Amino acid sequence: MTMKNLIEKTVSKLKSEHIKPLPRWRFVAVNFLYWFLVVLAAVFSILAVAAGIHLLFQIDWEAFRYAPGGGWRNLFFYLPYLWLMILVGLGFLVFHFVRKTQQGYRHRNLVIILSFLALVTAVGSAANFVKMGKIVDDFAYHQLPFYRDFMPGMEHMWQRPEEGFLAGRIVSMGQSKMSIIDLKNSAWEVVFSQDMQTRGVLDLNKNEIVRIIGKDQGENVFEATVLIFAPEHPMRGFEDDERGGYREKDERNFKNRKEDFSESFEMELR
Amino acid sequence: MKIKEDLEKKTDQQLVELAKKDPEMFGALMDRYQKPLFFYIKRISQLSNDDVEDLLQDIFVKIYLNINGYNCQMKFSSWAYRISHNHVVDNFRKIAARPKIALNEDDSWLKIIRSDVDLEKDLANKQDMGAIRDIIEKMPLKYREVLILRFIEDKDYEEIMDILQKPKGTVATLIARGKKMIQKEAKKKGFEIF
Repeated sequence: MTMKNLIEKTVSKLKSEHIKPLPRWRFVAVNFLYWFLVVLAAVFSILAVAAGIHLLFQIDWEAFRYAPGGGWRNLFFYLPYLWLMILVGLGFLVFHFVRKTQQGYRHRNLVIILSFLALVTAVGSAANFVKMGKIVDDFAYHQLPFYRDFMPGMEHMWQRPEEGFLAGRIVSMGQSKMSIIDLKNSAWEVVFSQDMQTRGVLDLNKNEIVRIIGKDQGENVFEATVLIFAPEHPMRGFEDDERGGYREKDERNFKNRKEDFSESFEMELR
Repeated sequence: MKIKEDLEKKTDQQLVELAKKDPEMFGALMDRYQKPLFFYIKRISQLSNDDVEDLLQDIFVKIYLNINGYNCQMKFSSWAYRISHNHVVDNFRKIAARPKIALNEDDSWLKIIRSDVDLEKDLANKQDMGAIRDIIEKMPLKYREVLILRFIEDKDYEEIMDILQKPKGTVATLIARGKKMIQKEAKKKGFEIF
């Protein structure tokens, strides 16, 4: 086939097979679709960053200092890995869709990746500042059944009395002991050790959440070596509307005790 | 004759607008680009003339189909080369099964090393030149195609970026690595270039 024949053959094919150019709107729509997917993936990335930052702030960093047997190895268990994995997956999607846009190929890989990280970190931090991180985490906690397994949260750490971690809502207070109800609705008697330390300004009243590091003495008795009061780190599962009716049950549990506990108790930071 | 002269004076963008309405006008664009695209496809695919022409016809049909997607911020030649490159890559398996011919009978491939080597002085004999041709023929496509675009097709980095849809830095890296590969293989065969 000569070059001239090629032109004639091709033009003839275009005419005989009624081949027409694809309409312009298709190309515009495809490009728009890719940009839409970029924005969508970026928005979810921002929410993932916000949730991850929120969970990082929920970690009881101080508690690990006092944890028996070196609690630092436990710290890694509570880092927001799931949100990090989601961020990485969404990052790949953003990168892929940016490359598919009309001008996307012009930018270096590192520029796209760093721009993405800078954007989601900045906006994700801002989103967490306006409580979006908590909203996302709460939504996932309540709506996604697998989420609690992947993201145990601090409430999980504080439900391990056998390892020296206990948290609960105060039922009654005394000079040397108190009674609490933990997240699993079990009643505990907490005995203060002689060299017990406190962290946080303590104005311990009924219904306050307290975290305790110490030793499980068995039969639901716990010896406290450190008391931590951290209202700025609310734990999931301790919201009021999830705990309706516990007070009556707690008080019935302790009806038969003869010791008299005072209603409120104040301790200064040591 | 006058019509042909008038068409020759039109820019690519003007011909594209005419071709959108009339396939006959597309013939003018084909006339302008069939030779450069023919040789480009031949260099990267190493197929016979007949096979290249078959591919070229498919490519022109593709260009016509997608002509409304052409972005005039880019050179039309870059866009046409891009479609040609993508078509060859997409059909690579079919192409790989077809018999290959020696690269560039006109020795235009020598331009790849000409910029760095004094061919008369530094290459001892025709055997060395034949060995270099073998090295280039056997290179992976991603290195061979950037070297062909840069040194034989005389495309600048901006055009190569638009054709291959890769960032400028990546294009520069591929060219550097391609030249290094030629140097390494040449050294194995017992002579130095670059």
